[in-house]
Amino acid sequence: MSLKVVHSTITPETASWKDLEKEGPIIADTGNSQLYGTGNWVPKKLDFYEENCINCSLCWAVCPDDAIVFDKDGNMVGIDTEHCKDCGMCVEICPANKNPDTEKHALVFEDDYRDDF
Amino acid sequence: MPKITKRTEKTLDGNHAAAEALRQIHPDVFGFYPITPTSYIGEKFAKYVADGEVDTEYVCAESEHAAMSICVGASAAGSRAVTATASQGLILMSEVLYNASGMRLPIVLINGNRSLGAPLSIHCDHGDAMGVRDTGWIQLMAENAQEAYDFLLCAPRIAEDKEVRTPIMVCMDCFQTTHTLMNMVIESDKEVQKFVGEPIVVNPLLDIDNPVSYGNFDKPNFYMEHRRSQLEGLLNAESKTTEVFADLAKTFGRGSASLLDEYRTDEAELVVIVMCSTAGTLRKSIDKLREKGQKVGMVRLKMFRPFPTKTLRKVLSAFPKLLILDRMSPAGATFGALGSEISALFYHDDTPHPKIRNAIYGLGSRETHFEDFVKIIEDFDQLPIEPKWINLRED
Repeated sequence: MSLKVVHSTITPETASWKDLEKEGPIIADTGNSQLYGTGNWVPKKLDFYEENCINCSLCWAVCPDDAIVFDKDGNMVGIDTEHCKDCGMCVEICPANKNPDTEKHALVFEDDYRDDF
Repeated sequence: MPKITKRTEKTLDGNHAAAEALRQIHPDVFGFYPITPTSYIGEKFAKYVADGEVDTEYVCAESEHAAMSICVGASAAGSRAVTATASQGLILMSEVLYNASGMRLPIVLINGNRSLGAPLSIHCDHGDAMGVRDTGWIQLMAENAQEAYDFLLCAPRIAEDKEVRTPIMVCMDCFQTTHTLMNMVIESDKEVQKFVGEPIVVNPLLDIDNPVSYGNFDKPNFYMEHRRSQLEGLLNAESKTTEVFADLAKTFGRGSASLLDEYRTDEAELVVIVMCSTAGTLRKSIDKLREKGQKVGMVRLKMFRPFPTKTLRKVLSAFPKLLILDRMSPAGATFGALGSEISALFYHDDTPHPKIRNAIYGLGSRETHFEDFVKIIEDFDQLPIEPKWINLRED
Protein backbone atom coordinates (compact mmCIF):
# COMPACT_ATOMS: atom_id res chain seq x y z
CA MET A 1 0.00 0.00 0.00
CA SER A 2 1.42 3.36 -0.98
CA LEU A 3 0.06 6.57 0.43
CA LYS A 4 0.65 10.00 -0.98
CA VAL A 5 0.23 12.83 1.47
CA VAL A 6 0.46 16.25 -0.14
CA HIS A 7 0.74 19.51 1.75
CA SER A 8 0.35 22.20 -0.85
CA THR A 9 0.64 25.21 1.43
CA ILE A 10 3.41 26.39 3.67
CA THR A 11 2.93 25.64 7.37
CA PRO A 12 2.49 28.96 9.17
CA GLU A 13 4.98 29.78 11.90
CA THR A 14 2.13 29.92 14.37
CA ALA A 15 1.23 26.24 13.77
CA SER A 16 1.27 23.97 16.80
CA TRP A 17 3.15 20.67 16.67
CA LYS A 18 -0.21 18.93 16.30
CA ASP A 19 -0.74 20.71 12.97
CA LEU A 20 2.51 19.36 11.50
CA GLU A 21 2.67 16.46 9.08
CA LYS A 22 2.32 13.17 10.94
CA GLU A 23 4.77 11.48 8.62
CA GLY A 24 7.61 13.70 9.81
CA PRO A 25 9.63 16.65 8.55
CA ILE A 26 9.18 15.77 4.90
CA ILE A 27 8.51 18.34 2.20
CA ALA A 28 5.82 16.57 0.23
CA ASP A 29 5.30 19.02 -2.60
CA THR A 30 7.47 20.90 -5.06
CA GLY A 31 8.13 24.50 -6.05
CA ASN A 32 7.89 25.77 -2.50
CA SER A 33 11.43 26.97 -1.87
CA GLN A 34 10.36 30.51 -2.80
CA LEU A 35 8.00 30.43 0.17
CA TYR A 36 10.88 30.14 2.64
CA GLY A 37 13.05 33.18 3.28
CA THR A 38 16.40 31.45 3.29
CA GLY A 39 18.62 34.42 2.41
CA ASN A 40 18.21 36.51 5.52
CA TRP A 41 21.29 35.21 7.33
CA VAL A 42 23.96 36.15 4.80
CA PRO A 43 26.99 37.97 6.18
CA LYS A 44 27.50 40.30 3.21
CA LYS A 45 25.19 42.44 1.12
CA LEU A 46 25.29 42.13 -2.67
CA ASP A 47 24.69 45.42 -4.48
CA PHE A 48 23.36 45.66 -8.04
CA TYR A 49 24.25 48.69 -10.21
CA GLU A 50 21.64 48.74 -12.95
CA GLU A 51 23.44 51.40 -15.00
CA ASN A 52 26.47 49.08 -15.45
CA CYS A 53 24.45 45.95 -16.29
CA ILE A 54 24.53 44.79 -19.95
CA ASN A 55 21.58 42.37 -19.50
CA CYS A 56 23.53 39.32 -20.65
CA SER A 57 21.67 37.08 -18.12
CA LEU A 58 24.79 35.04 -17.38
CA CYS A 59 24.18 35.67 -13.67
CA TRP A 60 20.72 34.15 -14.03
CA ALA A 61 22.25 31.08 -15.71
CA VAL A 62 24.62 30.37 -12.80
CA CYS A 63 22.47 31.41 -9.83
CA PRO A 64 21.64 28.27 -7.80
CA ASP A 65 18.79 30.01 -5.99
CA ASP A 66 17.00 31.70 -8.86
CA ALA A 67 17.60 34.98 -7.03
CA ILE A 68 18.16 37.23 -10.07
CA VAL A 69 15.11 39.42 -10.58
CA PHE A 70 13.93 40.60 -14.02
CA ASP A 71 11.18 42.94 -15.03
CA LYS A 72 8.52 41.89 -17.52
CA ASP A 73 10.66 43.08 -20.45
CA GLY A 74 13.51 40.80 -19.45
CA ASN A 75 15.73 43.51 -17.99
CA MET A 76 17.59 42.62 -14.83
CA VAL A 77 16.41 44.81 -11.99
CA GLY A 78 18.05 43.40 -8.90
CA ILE A 79 18.80 40.62 -6.44
CA ASP A 80 16.19 38.70 -4.45
CA THR A 81 17.83 39.14 -1.06
CA GLU A 82 15.30 36.81 0.56
CA HIS A 83 16.90 33.91 -1.31
CA CYS A 84 20.43 35.02 -2.29
CA LYS A 85 23.02 33.05 -0.28
CA ASP A 86 26.02 35.23 -1.21
CA CYS A 87 27.73 32.41 -3.12
CA GLY A 88 29.28 34.98 -5.46
CA MET A 89 28.94 32.99 -8.67
CA CYS A 90 27.18 35.90 -10.41
CA VAL A 91 29.94 38.26 -9.27
CA GLU A 92 32.53 35.92 -10.81
CA ILE A 93 30.77 35.48 -14.16
CA CYS A 94 29.54 39.05 -14.69
CA PRO A 95 31.23 40.52 -17.85
CA ALA A 96 30.80 44.07 -16.52
CA ASN A 97 32.83 43.07 -13.46
CA LYS A 98 35.83 42.35 -15.76
CA ASN A 99 36.28 46.09 -16.28
CA PRO A 100 39.47 47.30 -14.50
CA ASP A 101 37.48 50.32 -13.41
CA THR A 102 35.57 49.05 -10.38
CA GLU A 103 33.17 51.98 -10.76
CA LYS A 104 31.77 50.18 -13.83
CA HIS A 105 31.04 46.88 -12.06
CA ALA A 106 27.43 45.70 -11.95
CA LEU A 107 27.44 43.19 -9.06
CA VAL A 108 29.49 44.21 -6.04
CA PHE A 109 29.76 42.78 -2.55
CA GLU A 110 29.65 45.32 0.21
CA ASP A 111 32.30 44.87 2.84
CA ASP A 112 31.72 41.95 5.17
CA TYR A 113 30.25 43.42 8.35
CA ARG A 114 32.40 40.95 10.30
CA ASP A 115 35.48 42.92 9.19
CA ASP A 116 34.38 45.67 11.61
CA PHE A 117 35.08 43.49 14.61
CA MET B 1 15.82 -23.80 5.52
CA PRO B 2 13.36 -24.59 2.74
CA LYS B 3 9.95 -23.01 2.66
CA ILE B 4 7.75 -23.88 5.61
CA THR B 5 4.26 -24.83 4.57
CA LYS B 6 2.82 -25.65 7.98
CA ARG B 7 3.38 -24.72 11.60
CA THR B 8 6.53 -26.59 12.63
CA GLU B 9 8.33 -27.23 15.91
CA LYS B 10 12.07 -26.72 15.54
CA THR B 11 15.18 -26.50 17.66
CA LEU B 12 16.77 -23.17 16.79
CA ASP B 13 18.93 -20.51 18.36
CA GLY B 14 17.95 -16.85 18.43
CA ASN B 15 19.95 -15.93 15.35
CA HIS B 16 18.49 -18.71 13.25
CA ALA B 17 14.99 -17.88 14.49
CA ALA B 18 15.53 -14.23 13.55
CA ALA B 19 16.84 -15.21 10.10
CA GLU B 20 13.76 -17.39 9.63
CA ALA B 21 11.48 -14.52 10.64
CA LEU B 22 13.25 -12.24 8.16
CA ARG B 23 12.97 -14.82 5.39
CA GLN B 24 9.25 -15.08 6.02
CA ILE B 25 8.78 -11.30 6.29
CA HIS B 26 10.68 -11.10 2.99
CA PRO B 27 12.02 -7.52 3.28
CA ASP B 28 12.90 -5.52 0.16
CA VAL B 29 16.35 -4.49 1.38
CA PHE B 30 18.78 -5.96 3.92
CA GLY B 31 21.76 -3.68 4.61
CA PHE B 32 24.28 -5.64 6.61
CA TYR B 33 27.70 -5.54 8.22
CA PRO B 34 28.69 -8.57 10.34
CA ILE B 35 29.42 -8.38 14.06
CA THR B 36 29.40 -10.89 16.91
CA PRO B 37 26.88 -12.17 17.92
CA THR B 38 24.46 -11.41 15.07
CA SER B 39 26.73 -12.20 12.07
CA TYR B 40 24.89 -15.46 11.65
CA ILE B 41 21.64 -13.66 10.84
CA GLY B 42 23.30 -11.98 7.87
CA GLU B 43 25.15 -15.15 6.83
CA LYS B 44 21.98 -17.20 6.93
CA PHE B 45 20.01 -14.57 5.09
CA ALA B 46 22.74 -14.29 2.42
CA LYS B 47 22.29 -18.03 1.85
CA TYR B 48 18.55 -17.56 1.42
CA VAL B 49 19.29 -14.88 -1.17
CA ALA B 50 21.87 -17.07 -2.95
CA ASP B 51 19.47 -20.02 -2.96
CA GLY B 52 16.75 -17.87 -4.47
CA GLU B 53 14.39 -18.30 -1.54
CA VAL B 54 14.01 -14.54 -1.23
CA ASP B 55 14.56 -11.79 -3.78
CA THR B 56 15.62 -9.27 -1.18
CA GLU B 57 18.29 -6.75 -2.21
CA TYR B 58 21.09 -7.86 0.11
CA VAL B 59 23.69 -5.11 0.43
CA CYS B 60 27.07 -5.81 2.03
CA ALA B 61 28.06 -2.55 3.70
CA GLU B 62 31.53 -1.32 4.63
CA SER B 63 30.50 -0.51 8.20
CA GLU B 64 27.45 -0.48 10.44
CA HIS B 65 27.14 3.25 9.86
CA ALA B 66 26.82 2.45 6.16
CA ALA B 67 24.48 -0.49 6.80
CA MET B 68 22.02 1.76 8.62
CA SER B 69 22.48 4.49 6.01
CA ILE B 70 21.56 1.93 3.34
CA CYS B 71 18.41 1.14 5.32
CA VAL B 72 17.58 4.84 5.62
CA GLY B 73 17.91 5.35 1.86
CA ALA B 74 16.01 2.18 1.08
CA SER B 75 13.22 2.98 3.51
CA ALA B 76 12.86 6.55 2.25
CA ALA B 77 12.76 5.17 -1.28
CA GLY B 78 9.70 3.19 -0.25
CA SER B 79 10.93 -0.27 0.66
CA ARG B 80 10.79 -2.41 3.78
CA ALA B 81 14.37 -2.33 5.08
CA VAL B 82 15.99 -4.43 7.82
CA THR B 83 19.40 -4.87 9.42
CA ALA B 84 21.04 -6.69 12.31
CA THR B 85 23.87 -5.61 14.56
CA ALA B 86 25.17 -5.43 18.13
CA SER B 87 27.46 -3.58 20.49
CA GLN B 88 30.07 -1.42 18.73
CA GLY B 89 28.04 -1.76 15.55
CA LEU B 90 24.93 -0.31 17.18
CA ILE B 91 26.94 2.53 18.68
CA LEU B 92 28.58 3.25 15.31
CA MET B 93 25.09 3.36 13.81
CA SER B 94 23.81 5.74 16.44
CA GLU B 95 24.21 8.90 14.36
CA VAL B 96 22.08 7.36 11.63
CA LEU B 97 19.60 5.95 14.16
CA TYR B 98 18.63 9.52 15.07
CA ASN B 99 18.17 10.36 11.39
CA ALA B 100 16.05 7.26 10.78
CA SER B 101 13.68 8.09 13.62
CA GLY B 102 13.66 11.81 12.78
CA MET B 103 12.71 11.08 9.18
CA ARG B 104 10.09 8.63 10.49
CA LEU B 105 11.40 5.64 8.54
CA PRO B 106 9.97 2.31 9.77
CA ILE B 107 13.22 0.31 9.64
CA VAL B 108 13.51 -2.98 11.55
CA LEU B 109 16.76 -3.66 13.41
CA ILE B 110 17.77 -6.78 15.31
CA ASN B 111 20.24 -6.18 18.12
CA GLY B 112 22.16 -8.81 20.07
CA ASN B 113 22.66 -7.02 23.41
CA ARG B 114 26.42 -7.07 23.84
CA SER B 115 28.87 -5.26 26.12
CA LEU B 116 30.84 -2.28 24.86
CA GLY B 117 34.59 -1.70 24.72
CA ALA B 118 36.98 -0.81 26.13
CA PRO B 119 37.99 -3.29 27.44
CA LEU B 120 36.90 -5.29 24.42
CA SER B 121 34.25 -7.83 25.34
CA ILE B 122 32.05 -9.94 23.15
CA HIS B 123 29.70 -11.06 25.90
CA CYS B 124 26.28 -10.01 27.03
CA ASP B 125 25.03 -6.92 28.74
CA HIS B 126 22.60 -4.15 27.85
CA GLY B 127 25.11 -1.32 27.51
CA ASP B 128 24.63 -1.02 23.76
CA ALA B 129 20.83 -1.09 23.68
CA MET B 130 20.59 1.28 26.65
CA GLY B 131 23.21 3.52 25.06
CA VAL B 132 20.88 4.22 22.14
CA ARG B 133 17.69 4.37 24.18
CA ASP B 134 17.17 8.06 23.41
CA THR B 135 17.54 7.78 19.64
CA GLY B 136 13.76 7.79 19.23
CA TRP B 137 13.51 4.12 18.26
CA ILE B 138 10.97 1.64 19.57
CA GLN B 139 12.79 -1.01 21.63
CA LEU B 140 11.35 -4.48 22.21
CA MET B 141 13.30 -6.70 24.60
CA ALA B 142 12.99 -10.42 23.84
CA GLU B 143 13.53 -13.06 26.49
CA ASN B 144 14.32 -16.00 24.22
CA ALA B 145 14.49 -17.16 20.61
CA GLN B 146 10.74 -17.76 20.37
CA GLU B 147 10.00 -14.27 21.60
CA ALA B 148 12.61 -12.74 19.29
CA TYR B 149 10.89 -14.53 16.40
CA ASP B 150 7.45 -13.39 17.52
CA PHE B 151 8.56 -9.79 18.12
CA LEU B 152 10.09 -9.70 14.65
CA LEU B 153 6.79 -10.74 13.10
CA CYS B 154 5.14 -7.87 14.99
CA ALA B 155 7.90 -5.31 14.30
CA PRO B 156 7.04 -4.17 10.75
CA ARG B 157 3.36 -3.81 11.62
CA ILE B 158 4.11 -1.63 14.62
CA ALA B 159 6.73 0.51 12.88
CA GLU B 160 4.82 1.05 9.65
CA ASP B 161 1.54 2.00 11.27
CA LYS B 162 0.32 5.40 10.08
CA GLU B 163 0.09 6.76 13.63
CA VAL B 164 3.54 5.44 14.55
CA ARG B 165 5.97 5.69 11.57
CA THR B 166 8.94 5.04 13.83
CA PRO B 167 11.83 2.58 13.43
CA ILE B 168 11.92 -0.44 15.70
CA MET B 169 14.69 -2.41 17.40
CA VAL B 170 14.19 -6.00 18.53
CA CYS B 171 16.81 -6.74 21.18
CA MET B 172 17.85 -10.21 22.35
CA ASP B 173 20.71 -11.15 24.64
CA CYS B 174 24.10 -11.88 23.12
CA PHE B 175 24.88 -15.65 23.17
CA GLN B 176 22.34 -16.37 25.91
CA THR B 177 19.62 -15.92 23.30
CA THR B 178 21.40 -15.53 19.96
CA HIS B 179 23.39 -18.77 20.30
CA THR B 180 21.29 -20.86 22.67
CA LEU B 181 19.16 -23.57 21.13
CA MET B 182 15.54 -23.77 22.12
CA ASN B 183 12.53 -25.79 21.07
CA MET B 184 10.30 -23.30 19.35
CA VAL B 185 7.49 -22.96 16.87
CA ILE B 186 7.95 -21.56 13.38
CA GLU B 187 4.71 -20.61 11.72
CA SER B 188 4.06 -21.30 8.05
CA ASP B 189 5.35 -18.78 5.52
CA LYS B 190 1.85 -18.12 4.28
CA GLU B 191 0.41 -17.44 7.73
CA VAL B 192 3.32 -15.15 8.62
CA GLN B 193 2.99 -13.19 5.40
CA LYS B 194 -0.73 -12.85 6.05
CA PHE B 195 -0.01 -11.64 9.60
CA VAL B 196 2.73 -9.18 8.64
CA GLY B 197 1.01 -7.83 5.53
CA GLU B 198 2.27 -5.71 2.67
CA PRO B 199 4.60 -2.80 3.50
CA ILE B 200 2.80 0.47 4.22
CA VAL B 201 4.77 3.07 2.30
CA VAL B 202 4.26 6.79 2.80
CA ASN B 203 5.69 9.40 0.42
CA PRO B 204 8.32 7.18 -1.25
CA LEU B 205 11.25 8.92 -2.92
CA LEU B 206 10.99 6.61 -5.93
CA ASP B 207 7.48 7.84 -6.70
CA ILE B 208 8.88 10.26 -9.26
CA ASP B 209 5.46 11.55 -10.26
CA ASN B 210 5.01 12.87 -6.73
CA PRO B 211 8.43 14.19 -5.71
CA VAL B 212 9.17 14.69 -2.00
CA SER B 213 12.18 15.90 -0.07
CA TYR B 214 13.67 14.01 2.91
CA GLY B 215 16.26 15.15 5.42
CA ASN B 216 15.36 18.81 5.34
CA PHE B 217 16.63 21.69 7.41
CA ASP B 218 14.69 23.20 10.30
CA LYS B 219 15.23 26.67 11.62
CA PRO B 220 14.54 27.39 15.33
CA ASN B 221 10.93 28.22 14.45
CA PHE B 222 10.07 24.58 13.67
CA TYR B 223 12.69 22.24 15.18
CA MET B 224 10.95 21.93 18.55
CA GLU B 225 7.55 21.28 16.97
CA HIS B 226 9.02 18.53 14.77
CA ARG B 227 10.69 16.89 17.78
CA ARG B 228 7.39 16.90 19.66
CA SER B 229 5.58 15.53 16.63
CA GLN B 230 8.16 12.74 16.35
CA LEU B 231 7.68 11.90 20.03
CA GLU B 232 3.96 11.48 19.43
CA GLY B 233 4.66 8.75 16.87
CA LEU B 234 6.91 6.97 19.34
CA LEU B 235 4.34 7.25 22.14
CA ASN B 236 1.61 5.90 19.84
CA ALA B 237 3.74 2.76 19.49
CA GLU B 238 2.68 1.67 22.98
CA SER B 239 -0.98 1.11 22.14
CA LYS B 240 -0.13 -0.17 18.65
CA THR B 241 2.26 -2.75 20.12
CA THR B 242 -0.44 -3.93 22.54
CA GLU B 243 -2.80 -4.26 19.59
CA VAL B 244 -0.33 -6.24 17.47
CA PHE B 245 0.72 -8.45 20.42
CA ALA B 246 -2.97 -9.21 20.99
CA ASP B 247 -3.34 -10.15 17.33
CA LEU B 248 -0.25 -12.38 17.59
CA ALA B 249 -1.73 -14.13 20.62
CA LYS B 250 -5.01 -14.56 18.78
CA THR B 251 -3.47 -15.72 15.51
CA PHE B 252 -0.67 -17.97 16.74
CA GLY B 253 -1.66 -18.61 20.35
CA ARG B 254 1.55 -17.30 21.90
CA GLY B 255 2.33 -14.39 24.21
CA SER B 256 -0.16 -11.82 25.41
CA ALA B 257 -1.21 -8.27 24.63
CA SER B 258 0.56 -7.03 27.76
CA LEU B 259 3.85 -5.16 27.51
CA LEU B 260 4.78 -6.72 30.85
CA ASP B 261 5.36 -10.32 31.79
CA GLU B 262 4.30 -10.77 35.40
CA TYR B 263 5.42 -13.86 37.30
CA ARG B 264 3.96 -14.81 40.69
CA THR B 265 3.18 -11.21 41.58
CA ASP B 266 -0.02 -12.12 43.43
CA GLU B 267 0.15 -10.50 46.88
CA ALA B 268 3.86 -9.94 46.37
CA GLU B 269 5.66 -7.69 48.84
CA LEU B 270 8.81 -7.50 46.76
CA VAL B 271 8.93 -7.47 43.01
CA VAL B 272 12.05 -7.80 40.89
CA ILE B 273 12.08 -5.91 37.61
CA VAL B 274 14.17 -7.22 34.76
CA MET B 275 14.52 -7.40 30.98
CA CYS B 276 15.49 -10.13 28.51
CA SER B 277 16.97 -13.57 29.16
CA THR B 278 17.68 -13.16 32.90
CA ALA B 279 13.96 -13.64 33.51
CA GLY B 280 14.49 -17.41 33.10
CA THR B 281 17.00 -17.54 35.96
CA LEU B 282 14.89 -15.23 38.07
CA ARG B 283 11.81 -17.42 37.79
CA LYS B 284 13.79 -20.16 39.51
CA SER B 285 14.89 -17.74 42.26
CA ILE B 286 11.30 -16.61 42.73
CA ASP B 287 10.11 -20.23 42.94
CA LYS B 288 12.73 -21.03 45.60
CA LEU B 289 11.76 -17.99 47.68
CA ARG B 290 8.05 -18.70 47.30
CA GLU B 291 8.75 -22.25 48.54
CA LYS B 292 10.24 -20.64 51.64
CA GLY B 293 7.02 -18.64 52.02
CA GLN B 294 8.43 -15.29 50.92
CA LYS B 295 6.03 -13.16 48.92
CA VAL B 296 8.18 -12.22 45.94
CA GLY B 297 7.44 -11.90 42.24
CA MET B 298 8.90 -10.70 39.01
CA VAL B 299 7.92 -8.22 36.32
CA ARG B 300 9.71 -8.44 32.99
CA LEU B 301 9.48 -5.57 30.52
CA LYS B 302 8.92 -6.59 26.92
CA MET B 303 9.24 -3.00 25.78
CA PHE B 304 11.74 -0.37 26.94
CA ARG B 305 10.97 2.45 24.47
CA PRO B 306 8.48 3.97 24.56
CA PHE B 307 8.68 3.30 28.28
CA PRO B 308 5.26 1.87 29.25
CA THR B 309 4.89 4.51 31.96
CA LYS B 310 1.16 4.36 32.66
CA THR B 311 0.96 0.56 32.71
CA LEU B 312 3.99 0.27 34.97
CA ARG B 313 2.83 2.98 37.39
CA LYS B 314 -0.47 1.18 37.74
CA VAL B 315 1.02 -2.30 38.15
CA LEU B 316 4.05 -1.48 40.29
CA SER B 317 2.40 0.89 42.77
CA ALA B 318 0.69 -2.17 44.29
CA PHE B 319 4.03 -3.49 45.60
CA PRO B 320 5.83 -2.06 48.66
CA LYS B 321 9.34 -3.03 47.54
CA LEU B 322 10.95 -2.96 44.10
CA LEU B 323 14.33 -4.40 43.20
CA ILE B 324 15.37 -3.21 39.75
CA LEU B 325 18.03 -5.17 37.92
CA ASP B 326 20.16 -3.27 35.43
CA ARG B 327 22.53 -5.02 33.09
CA MET B 328 24.63 -1.93 32.38
CA SER B 329 26.94 0.37 34.30
CA PRO B 330 25.07 3.40 35.68
CA ALA B 331 28.02 5.37 34.27
CA GLY B 332 27.67 8.19 36.75
CA ALA B 333 23.87 8.29 36.86
CA THR B 334 21.94 7.75 40.09
CA PHE B 335 20.76 4.33 38.91
CA GLY B 336 21.06 2.23 35.78
CA ALA B 337 18.69 3.00 32.89
CA LEU B 338 15.85 0.79 34.11
CA GLY B 339 16.35 1.88 37.73
CA SER B 340 16.19 5.55 36.80
CA GLU B 341 13.08 5.09 34.66
CA ILE B 342 11.18 3.11 37.29
CA SER B 343 12.16 5.50 40.10
CA ALA B 344 10.88 8.42 38.07
CA LEU B 345 7.44 6.76 37.87
CA PHE B 346 6.58 7.36 41.50
CA TYR B 347 7.72 10.82 42.50
CA HIS B 348 5.06 12.85 40.74
CA ASP B 349 2.53 13.30 43.54
CA ASP B 350 1.99 12.68 47.25
CA THR B 351 0.83 9.08 46.99
CA PRO B 352 2.97 6.53 48.84
CA HIS B 353 5.72 5.08 46.70
CA PRO B 354 7.53 1.76 46.91
CA LYS B 355 10.96 1.37 48.42
CA ILE B 356 13.34 1.12 45.48
CA ARG B 357 16.75 -0.49 45.25
CA ASN B 358 18.87 -0.89 42.16
CA ALA B 359 21.33 -3.69 41.40
CA ILE B 360 23.85 -4.01 38.60
CA TYR B 361 24.52 -7.54 37.38
CA GLY B 362 25.98 -9.61 34.56
CA LEU B 363 28.17 -6.99 32.86
CA GLY B 364 30.17 -8.65 30.09
CA SER B 365 28.28 -11.84 30.98
CA ARG B 366 29.52 -12.06 34.59
CA GLU B 367 27.86 -15.26 35.74
CA THR B 368 24.84 -14.61 37.92
CA HIS B 369 23.19 -17.74 39.25
CA PHE B 370 19.73 -18.09 40.70
CA GLU B 371 21.30 -18.29 44.19
CA ASP B 372 22.81 -14.83 43.69
CA PHE B 373 19.37 -13.39 43.00
CA VAL B 374 17.90 -15.30 45.97
CA LYS B 375 20.59 -13.73 48.18
CA ILE B 376 20.10 -10.16 46.99
CA ILE B 377 16.32 -10.45 47.32
CA GLU B 378 16.72 -11.74 50.89
CA ASP B 379 19.20 -8.93 51.64
CA PHE B 380 16.92 -6.25 50.18
CA ASP B 381 16.47 -4.29 53.44
CA GLN B 382 20.24 -4.09 53.97
CA LEU B 383 21.02 -2.86 50.45
CA PRO B 384 22.63 0.56 50.12
CA ILE B 385 20.86 3.41 48.33
CA GLU B 386 23.53 3.33 45.66
CA PRO B 387 23.30 0.56 43.04
CA LYS B 388 24.60 -2.75 44.37
CA TRP B 389 26.94 -4.59 42.01
CA ILE B 390 26.13 -8.31 42.16
CA ASN B 391 29.09 -10.72 42.07
CA LEU B 392 31.66 -7.94 41.91
CA ARG B 393 34.92 -8.75 43.70
CA GLU B 394 35.12 -5.96 46.25
CA ASP B 395 37.59 -7.12 48.87
